[in-house]
Amino acid sequence: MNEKPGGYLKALAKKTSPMIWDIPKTAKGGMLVPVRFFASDALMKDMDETVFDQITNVACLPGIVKYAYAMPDAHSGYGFPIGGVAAMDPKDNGVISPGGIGFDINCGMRLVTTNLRYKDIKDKLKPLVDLLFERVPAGVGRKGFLKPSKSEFQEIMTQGSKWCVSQGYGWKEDLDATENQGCISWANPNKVSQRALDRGMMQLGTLGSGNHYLEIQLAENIADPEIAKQFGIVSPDQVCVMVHCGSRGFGHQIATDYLKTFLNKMPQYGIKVRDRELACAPFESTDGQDYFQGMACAANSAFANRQIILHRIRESFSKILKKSPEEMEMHLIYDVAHNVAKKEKHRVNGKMKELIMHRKGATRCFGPGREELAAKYRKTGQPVIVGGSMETGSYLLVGTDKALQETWGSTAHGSGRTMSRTKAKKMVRGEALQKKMEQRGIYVRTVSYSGLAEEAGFAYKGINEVVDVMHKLGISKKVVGFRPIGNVKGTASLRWILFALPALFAFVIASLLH
Amino acid sequence: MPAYRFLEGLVTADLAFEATGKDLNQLFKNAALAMFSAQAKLSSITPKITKRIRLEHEDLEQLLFDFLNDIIYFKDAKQLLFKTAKVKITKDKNYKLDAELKGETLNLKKHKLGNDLKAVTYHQFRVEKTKSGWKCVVVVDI
Repeated sequence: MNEKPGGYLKALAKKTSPMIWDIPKTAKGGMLVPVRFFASDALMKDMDETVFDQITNVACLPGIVKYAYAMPDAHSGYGFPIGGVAAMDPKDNGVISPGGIGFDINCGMRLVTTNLRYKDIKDKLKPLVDLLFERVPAGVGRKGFLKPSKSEFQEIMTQGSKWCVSQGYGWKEDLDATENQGCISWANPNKVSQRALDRGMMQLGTLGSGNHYLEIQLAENIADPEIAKQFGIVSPDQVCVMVHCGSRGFGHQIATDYLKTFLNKMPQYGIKVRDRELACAPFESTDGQDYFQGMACAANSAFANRQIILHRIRESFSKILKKSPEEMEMHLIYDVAHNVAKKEKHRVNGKMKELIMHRKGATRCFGPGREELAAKYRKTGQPVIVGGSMETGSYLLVGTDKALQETWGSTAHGSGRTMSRTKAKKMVRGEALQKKMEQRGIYVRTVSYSGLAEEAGFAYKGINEVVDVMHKLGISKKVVGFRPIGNVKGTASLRWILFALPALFAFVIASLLH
Repeated sequence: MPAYRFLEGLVTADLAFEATGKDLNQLFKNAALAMFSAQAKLSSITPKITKRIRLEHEDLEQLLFDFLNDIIYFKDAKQLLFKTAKVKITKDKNYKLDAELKGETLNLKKHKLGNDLKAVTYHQFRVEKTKSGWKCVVVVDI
């Protein structure tokens, strides 16, 4: 089995200017556009070969415009790599592909600030993390505290964060600090299956597992004090909270449903793809529109999910610190979606054109002036939240004009895994890692205490290097760096499987003899 | 012959496993066990509730894909974690699956939880006939 078929393509990537690498469209049969990577020499050297195979497959998709882009945190995904960006022209039979969005539709990041300093919460950090761990459920199949009726969930699908705020789960100003104001207008609940509703209706306000987390952080390096101030960060040591999660089982099921539909329908549209996970349909076809409208329901539920989590964060801080969230000035800085498709206007050959933008594990980073941004960020450019591994810290960046020229207004989303979960677990024991982190002043709660190993910092690319590439290229500029001090995680270890295997062998042998 | 093993290096961010069986019944059962054990420690689950799954598909791979996705569905929709599976595969015009899964409702105090599975993917997904029976490779998004 050829597990990593991208080796020869990696060799074809040529550095065309500092930190920019191109693969010509002659590299693979069927490529309609070239591929462009943004990466330092070191990141490029370590880049997983599968990424090269996957991003050149993306370059073969009907209607793709200009380039298939890979961000510096790219790693292998399904269909598209994570860290892949592609724009399709709907007037040129451009497609929409669930593989360009991901199973976790509108997985994203949310950053909340406070007027607190480390000294204000130092002695209360443990009870605060413990309360957040209780109030923001994490891990396998967890339900949230909200029990929406079917008609309420219909409203959540169409209104997203707006529904939450109307129900008292948030402040009106939160909406201006959310991509699309937390509500994607083209959502249509009729395009969502009963199975998706069954899976997702009770999961609002939950984190999930994998690399999802809720983290208390301190501002550390303020790179651009002027913009930082406009975003609400005025001092090092300022306490912030970062959340990473998505649309939970609801979005996962919508992605699965349409992946299957598109696989069946592609022959009718005369579309062939190199990987089943790239199944797609013309954007303007009924199938393409159905997915776009169903995907928007999931995106709105993810905005609502993070909005409800914000509400729980405000409640928890208030309870432990005995002050109101308003007194603590717990403003939402921003909420970004990093797994989503949208219609956006961009300049192509000197003319503004409406394109279908796929961002999978990539963050929109619009510069100043874009009409999509709320008034308060229209002068600065949008805040961009890039989450690191739980050990290494995270960043607040700002979008630029250059991004609009170079990447359809897109940048990295995180640090990107470089090591498998199985391997990470072999390198470190979860308990030891937890202790080590606590010694360094990071208090972690997880569903299973032995479950941290898979998310160890060494399993990820260096966040600083990823952010530096986009900063030096002028695509997203550094504003503030953060270091973690408290973390709620949904992940869990599979190490106990090793102990369960002998019993299974016995079971299998017994059934064979039987 | 091991029932299943988790694969290293096939995917970086997610979960990959290979399951085997002397026949299709065993292959499907072992693939289900791999899914169950990724979700929670099997010894912590009591097989109290039974769920019957019946599926039909002309394509064997698609039948397995749908079956494994049903396990994820029951985890989210009914908070059910399973411990055992009995599977019967027959074929006339189409492949037909009749499975009985046993487990119980998720209990945080009782169950040692693993990963929250999002979706079975088509990435590297395959079912193959081997010398000694059947084999499948499955990558699950987590």
